[in-house]
Amino acid sequence: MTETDKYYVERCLDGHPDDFRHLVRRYQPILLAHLAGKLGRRDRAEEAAQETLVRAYFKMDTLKKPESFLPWLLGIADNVAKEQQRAEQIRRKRESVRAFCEEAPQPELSQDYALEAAIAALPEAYRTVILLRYYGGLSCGGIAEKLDTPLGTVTKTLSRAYALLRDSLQRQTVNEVQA
Amino acid sequence: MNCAECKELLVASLEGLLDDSQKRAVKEHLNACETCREEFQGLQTLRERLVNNGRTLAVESQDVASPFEDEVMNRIIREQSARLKSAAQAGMGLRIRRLIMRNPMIRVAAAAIVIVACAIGVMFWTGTESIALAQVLARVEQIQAYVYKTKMTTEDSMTGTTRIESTVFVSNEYGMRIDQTGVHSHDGQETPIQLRTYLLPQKKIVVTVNLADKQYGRMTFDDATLENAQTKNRDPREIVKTMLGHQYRELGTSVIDGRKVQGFETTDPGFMSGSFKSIRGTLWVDVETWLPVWSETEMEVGEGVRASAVDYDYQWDAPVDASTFEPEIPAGFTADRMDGTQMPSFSEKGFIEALQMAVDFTGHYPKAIDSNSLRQLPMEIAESMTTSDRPAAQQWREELKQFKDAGGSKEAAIRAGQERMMKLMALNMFPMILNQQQMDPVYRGDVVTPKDIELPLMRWKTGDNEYRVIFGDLHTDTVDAETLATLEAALPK
Repeated sequence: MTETDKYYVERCLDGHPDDFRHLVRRYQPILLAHLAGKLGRRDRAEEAAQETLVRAYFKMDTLKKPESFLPWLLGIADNVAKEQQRAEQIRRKRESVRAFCEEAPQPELSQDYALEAAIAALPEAYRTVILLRYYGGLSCGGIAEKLDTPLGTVTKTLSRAYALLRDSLQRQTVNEVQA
Repeated sequence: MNCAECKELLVASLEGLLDDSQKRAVKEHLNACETCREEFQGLQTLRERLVNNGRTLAVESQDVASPFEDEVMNRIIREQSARLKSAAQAGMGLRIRRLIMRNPMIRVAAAAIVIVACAIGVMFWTGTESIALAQVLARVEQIQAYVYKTKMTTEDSMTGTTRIESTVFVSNEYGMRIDQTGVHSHDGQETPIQLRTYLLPQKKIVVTVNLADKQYGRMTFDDATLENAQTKNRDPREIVKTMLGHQYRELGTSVIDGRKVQGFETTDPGFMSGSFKSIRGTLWVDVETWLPVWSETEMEVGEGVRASAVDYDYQWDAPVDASTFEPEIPAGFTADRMDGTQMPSFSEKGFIEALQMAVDFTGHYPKAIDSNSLRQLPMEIAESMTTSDRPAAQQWREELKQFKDAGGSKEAAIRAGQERMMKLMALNMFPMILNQQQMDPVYRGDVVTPKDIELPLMRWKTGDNEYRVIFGDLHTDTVDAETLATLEAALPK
């Protein structure tokens, strides 16, 4: 588990598919948090996360910088989420046509959907830091190393991310109250 | 320290990143300033939320594989064995698969699904207890010919996306014609589709004219297949009878193209042979003519494969004449590799042959005969054909070699392989026919093996107290209900 992403990516490309397991283990929580915020439902997020990882595995030879595995993975996740959302929109449109005969089933929200949605809405730089810190289990020092930036920048980014998250969570609460 | 300076350090403080003098300064300021204290508490709460949420998503133990992880790895292994082995080791498997996906029969089957969908409405109506029911049935029974349009999308994560628009002509007298135009896209490549398919029951042939590739093919089919094609594609009354048992609900009234319509919907998984992971059919019927105006079908065929179709612009009792159903093959077109072959038989015999083929090449029966399991089978067989030591596989390779040595073309060899693979379609189609005729087929490939000469692998109802049984060793028998119960009681739990 302590090897770098680059190491595992290269192992996979060298014909050791089982080493992909380590990358799955490493990024599962990050992917789930990232997708849960976008998709709003834990089961959908899980499905999308699996799809993302499977696609990533088969596209690995197109990953130009193996050390940038995570941003690349999140890019794939965004595509998967978009596809799912599109399918969901179509489904909803149809659903609204028949809304008069049935109440829509309540989606099963994850435990802290508000938070996940707020994270999903963050600009990328802030989102990455939050995801790595609280879902990827890295320390601020670890993040600095991983992103190759000074520790001071990481804490500043994190600080700003906190502020953005609080704003967004407060706005959500206000909207709920008004609704 | 002022408030601005303090606020800048609060997150770092929560993260334990401050040095001793900074810590002291922050602590002093917080003691003195209520605003910053509140700010700090707010940040603390948010941090707890983040940490808690992160924990719920994290793998329980970093050293033990989670079900999530196993599922990802299994999916990768499944897909990889499909992709890599067949492609890299022999190059044959994938090619066969691609051919199967491109072959016209699959398209005919896809079109048939759409046609069934259009007839859903009739089934809905017969399920209602209103006076209108008789009118609808009488009305539909009078229909001699109709034309409608279809837009269909099939998404397959492995083979790409196909979008097709079709015009379908159906005549009780002449048969069926489907004109398709569309695009197949896969890995950024787009292939245009322009096809005309004629299903001609009197001549017992299917003719496909591929306008994009300038090719044509004529395939013959047997009586069982014909009967299926007739019940499925041409006689709404049959469909009424077979689909009556499925659940549906009313969607109320609406307006389409200025016409008042009433809607119905079914999501009954047993609908359309029950071989799909999920299905939803919606139909809107003109309240004045009692004939379908608009219909939609969405189905999840299996992992990564979805299909959706909209049928519209129905012209009931449209004037069609014989020339519409006369295949027109433009000059300069050449015969494709399916030309002159026999379509697989969807009879009991064809079904047993397909089961035998599965066992010969893979050593076991498919666990289930739903669309998803059956998607895997051709891959498995193609892989076995190219790599396995089973006698059937060796024999197949030997045949190919002899064929090649005798100067046979590569094309012809591929064609032979394809003809063989198409037999597998009976696994799907035969139970589908039984289902449509409400003959209650039950398949137990999950527990019955070729060694189980006394266990029922598949059975269906042929009469009041009469069942047809195919046993594990593929011999057949006709038994009464009591005998069947004894046979089924012997199945492993």
